[in-house]
Order: sequence, then C-alpha cells, then structure tokens
Amino acid sequence: MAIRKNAFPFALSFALALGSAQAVTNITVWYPWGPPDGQAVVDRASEFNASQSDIHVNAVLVSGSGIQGTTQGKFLTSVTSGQVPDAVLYWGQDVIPGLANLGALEPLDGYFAGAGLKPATINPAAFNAMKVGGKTYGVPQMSSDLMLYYNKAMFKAAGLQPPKTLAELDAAAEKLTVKNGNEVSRMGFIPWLQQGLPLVWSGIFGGTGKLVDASGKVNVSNSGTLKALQWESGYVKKYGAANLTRFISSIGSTTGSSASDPFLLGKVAMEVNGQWHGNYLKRYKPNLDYGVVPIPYPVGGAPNAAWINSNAWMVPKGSKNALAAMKFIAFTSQAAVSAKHADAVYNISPVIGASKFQKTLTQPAIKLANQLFGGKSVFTSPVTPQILNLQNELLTAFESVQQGSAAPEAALAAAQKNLDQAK
Amino acid sequence: MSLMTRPPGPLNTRPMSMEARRRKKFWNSLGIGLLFIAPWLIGFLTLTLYPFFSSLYYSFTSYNILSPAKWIGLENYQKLMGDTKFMASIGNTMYYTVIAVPLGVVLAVGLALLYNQKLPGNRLFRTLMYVPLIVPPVATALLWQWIFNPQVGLLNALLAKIGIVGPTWLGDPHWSKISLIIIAQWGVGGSVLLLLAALQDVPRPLYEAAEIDGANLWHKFVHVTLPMISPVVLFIAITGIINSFQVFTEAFIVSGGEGGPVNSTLFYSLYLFQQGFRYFHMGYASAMAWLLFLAVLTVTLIVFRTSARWVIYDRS
Repeated sequence: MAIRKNAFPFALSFALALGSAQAVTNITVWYPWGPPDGQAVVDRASEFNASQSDIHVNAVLVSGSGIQGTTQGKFLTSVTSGQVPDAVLYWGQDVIPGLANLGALEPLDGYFAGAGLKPATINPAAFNAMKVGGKTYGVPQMSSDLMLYYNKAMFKAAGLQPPKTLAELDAAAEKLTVKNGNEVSRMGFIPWLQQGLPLVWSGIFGGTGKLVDASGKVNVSNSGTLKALQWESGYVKKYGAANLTRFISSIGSTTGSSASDPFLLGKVAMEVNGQWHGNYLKRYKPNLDYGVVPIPYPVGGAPNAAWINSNAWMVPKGSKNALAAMKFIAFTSQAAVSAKHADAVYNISPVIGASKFQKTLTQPAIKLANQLFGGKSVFTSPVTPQILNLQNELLTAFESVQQGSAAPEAALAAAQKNLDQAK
Repeated sequence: MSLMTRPPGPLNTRPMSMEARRRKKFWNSLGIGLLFIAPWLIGFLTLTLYPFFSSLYYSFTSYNILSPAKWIGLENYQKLMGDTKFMASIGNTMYYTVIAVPLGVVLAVGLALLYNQKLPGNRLFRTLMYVPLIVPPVATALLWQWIFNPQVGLLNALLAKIGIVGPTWLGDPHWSKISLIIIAQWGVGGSVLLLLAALQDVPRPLYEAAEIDGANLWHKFVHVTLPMISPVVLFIAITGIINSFQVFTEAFIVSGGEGGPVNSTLFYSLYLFQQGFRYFHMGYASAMAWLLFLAVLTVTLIVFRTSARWVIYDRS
C-alpha cells in the first residue's frame, strides 16, 4: 500500500527530473588547433556550460576543422552524410565563399536575434568579409592584422629611423644587408618572407579590391597587383634571384612563427608578420629589442593599411542545433569574454569595445594591431568562390618572379589564364 | 500410447548420386570459403570495386560532393586537354619517371652485386640498407629537407669539401625534381633485397660453363647474371613505373601541398589531390584518375610486351 501511496509523487518527480535532463541540448563544435589556441576554445566552452544549464557544448579538436590540413574533406563528407557538428571554428575566412557556394553552410542572419548576437557589435570590415551574396555565413571569432617588425638595435647601429614609406623601407633594407664575400649573412628585408603574401602586397598597392571585378570575374593582372609584383622584382634585380633563394632556404622557418624565425635569429632586420608574432618573440627571445610600425606604403598609397584576417565560426548545413550553437557563439562574442580569449591567444578581438578589457594591450604589437584594426585602411581577401585557386595562382606567379624565371606581366598573364580555365 | 509407424511402401531414401554429393560438397566448401574471406570480400567490394567504377561514372559528371552529380559527358576530359597545369603535371611526372626508375634499377642492381660478395660486415650493411624503408615517407621527406638545406645541409657541406657550391635544391625549380629523385633512391633497399635473392639463385654451373668458355667478369655479368635476374628486374621496373606515376607524399611535404617552387613539383597525383580535395572538383579529379589508370595500364602493357625480348624465364 505504501508503494501505491507514494507511486504518484515518485513518478512525478522522476518525470520532472527526466524532463529537466532532456531539456539540456548537447551540441558539438569542432575547433582546428591544439593548445594553446585550442585549449582557449575548450575553456570558453567550459565557461559557457557553467554559465547556464540549457545547452552543453562539447568542443572537439578536428585538425583544420576537417576543412583544410590533414583531415581535409572531413567537413564536407560530414555535411553530405548529415552527421554534422553544430558549429565549426576555422582559422580564416577564405573558405567561406567556396563552402557557401557549395551549399555546405547555413546562412546565419536568421539566428542573430534569437541567439542575442548583434552584428553591429562586431568590426564591420571583419564581419563583411563573412558575407557572400548578401548573406552572412560566418561570425568573426578572433582577428589578426599585419605590421612591419624591425630590429631596433640594427636600426640604431645604422642610424636609421623606422620606415614609413616603401622607398624608405627599400633604402633601409639595402643599408641593413650584410654580405660576407658572395654570401649574404643578413638581409635587411625580403618582401615575401613570413606573412608577405601576394594578397597582402597586392592590397598595400591597392590591388586586392580590384582582384574581383563588379561582374565577379577574377582579374589578377590589375594595376595594384602588377605594381606589387614589379616592386618585388626590384629586389630580385638588386640582390639576385639565386642569392635570395639560397639565403631563404637556409634561414629556418620562413612561413610561420617559431623559435627558428629569421627575424628572431637576427637573419633579417625587418619582416612582415602578425601581432601574434610578438608572443613568439617574447617566448623565445625575451631580450630582443624590436619595434613595430604599420606596413610602409607606396607613392600614392594609403598610410596605416593593414590586411586583416579573422577566424570564423560557421554553422554547417544540416546542423540539428543551429540556434543553440549560435547562442554559444554569441556568448564568446561578448566583449569581456572575447577580450579574455584574445589575451590567451595573442589575437585581437573583432568585438567593438573589447579592447578596453584586453590586458595584452601593453604589448606593442597588440597595441598597434588594435589601432590598425579600427582604422579606415584595412582590407581583407576578396570574397569569391575562386579565392583558394586565386591564392594558389597568385603564389605561383609571385614565386616565378621571385625565382627570376618570369617577368611580372608574363607571370600574372599565366595566372589569369589558369584561373580562366579553372572556372 | 501409439507409436508412429512409417506407412508401408517403398523407401524414400534413395542414395544420393555421386554427382549430387560432389555438387553439395562443392557448394558447402564454397560457402565456407566465402565466409572465411567475407571480411576482405566486403571491404574489397565496398571500398575498392564500388569506388573504382563509381569514379568512372563521376568522371563524366560535374560533382562537388554536396550537390547531385550532373552528367556533362566528355567535358572534363576535353577541359583537361586545355589545362596548362594538367600538362605541366604530366611533364613533371614523366621527367621524374624517366630518370628515377632507370636510376633506381641500376642502383639496385649495383648494390645487390656488391652485397652478394663475401665481404666483411655484409650482413650489417644488408640490414642497414633496409632501414630507410621502415621510416615513414613523411619523416623521410622532412629529414631530406634538412639534408638539402643549401647553407647548413649535409649535402652542400660535402660538396663544399670538394670545392663545389651546391644548388638550392628544393628551393630552385631547376633542382627540385632532381632532389625528389634523389630522395626516391633512399628507398632502393627493397629492390636490392629482391635482387639479392635472385642473384643467390643463379645456377652456379652457368658461371662455370662461362668460365670454361673464357668469359671474364663483365661477360659473366652481361650473359649470365643479368639474363638470370631479368624477371626480377622486370618486376622492379614495373612497380617502379607505377609508383613514379603516383608520386605524391614527398612532393606534398616538401612543397607544403602546393607543388612549388613555380609548379616544378606539381606531380600528377598532387594536382589530382588539389582538384579533388582542395577545390572539390570531384568529377574533374575522377577524370584525371582514370587517365592515370589508363596511362599506367598502357605503359605496363608496353613494358610487358617488350619484355619478351630481354626477360629470360628459362633457367636451364
């Protein structure tokens, strides 16, 4: 009888407990890096989980988020099979036009209000780079911009001031180059080292905005890109393609920040790099006396121009909990949360007003990055489904000039031909 | 209690004919056999045969994984004929194959002859020769990147000892393919091992007969050794050609997947990979895969046909 008497309240409490357990929406997000950047994402997920009880985020490391890198193709196959994560974080915005064009991404505009994310709180340049055909397919998570790092001790010894224009940069580069016989032991500057990518120099010369015309046609032979390549070919003529290639091949890692970075090792007096590089310098050579200035500009160019790139949150097509995922993204896009994340990974927050919470602003590179980020002369990669192919062709064209095997005009014409064929 | 009894009449247990028994045994054996190989069979049918033939279908379509494949007939194949990067990848692959395969065979024969001599430390060297093969190709490529470093690399340091200023190897489009050909020779140990087994199997009386006829070392090598090991040389040549046509890993690692500098290491498989998994042009990549298959098939058939002139199977 006692059992029967207590059965109803017991069943009710059980049902309520079950109901409350079922109310939790479990979502999975993929992130592309190992620690420390990946750990910061896991930390944000833990904070979000602790801040509320409706949604539980499970952050899973998938190299390159299955979009690029060793697990390339995993993202698309997940979309095809319907077994998708609820959101993915990727280390750049360049894949968005291609994936959106394939129909692999969910447009996010319809979720902003429900998730409590106001697009107006995000830097417009970073936010607009996530739009394809008027629809938003990504939310900037962290942003970066590029600057010129220079070795203060070398500049002081040579009696030089940090360059503001490209003419000053070229002159400083020449003066800071050291040769032992035929062997170059130190280069003042090599434009294409580290982050001196074709798109960056094309943008500095005003070409990035012209890479895709109004009809959507890719045009790599535009005047800005050509001028950038002609300027680079000046270095090839002055120092010799073979000497430059030999020097570059011998100075360690020239495409990523590490302990063997040539600027860190004193092999070059200047290099173009992102604000994150300051963290590597601090870690591996804390006593290095260096400064940062905006990338110098050419005659007729804009001062304080900076190429910005943002990590992107995306929601794959077929996500079963898109709104819940967007709520998590909205959580990470709060100024204080975003600033905390930026401090952890040495990036800058795309959220307007987050910089006032950022503790790393005392670092010169972060400070300059924040200043440049809010400026009027920032530019991003062009938004076109052909962006990856465009980058590849530009890289080959610039490489052939850097190797001394083609003239700038011919190299860009060949790239244009390949792009036209690939349409 | 009643017992069930069989109704009277002729017995319905006609003995099974020998033929029927044999047939039953055959089907039983076949069933058991199929059951045993089922794991492989299922894998083969679903992961090899089905993708193989579906790629043939996709080669006639425009397909990006997400949208349904759209039939476009021969368009992918026609487009390939006008694709300059496709042509460059064929040129790079041919260059690599034409040098790497003969060089690999000559080197393997030379080393096998050396290891076949009764020299001190032979066993140790035979073991050491095989060690590179157990190193993963990615690790090998990374290792060789350091060896090819123009200023601090081992190779240029050795060249400097004899007064030669080494090239920039992987950084120079004129030397990058040569560098990869050198890397390929690092794995010659497998071929050497096969040739060593073949060499030790050459009948001694043939050498004795040749000596009686006045043959010197060179004559014995050309007229006895080489013909006797020719089936193994054919095997090494064919597998070498197939592997060279598919060269990928080392080029992917040293060029960061781009095929640079200036497309000089953009081999066929690398370009196929770029088309398929970077740009998701799966139809285009499938067409490339089928052309590669046909090219490998044709070259292998040609080598087989011509092998009748130089491969000797008669060991008497």
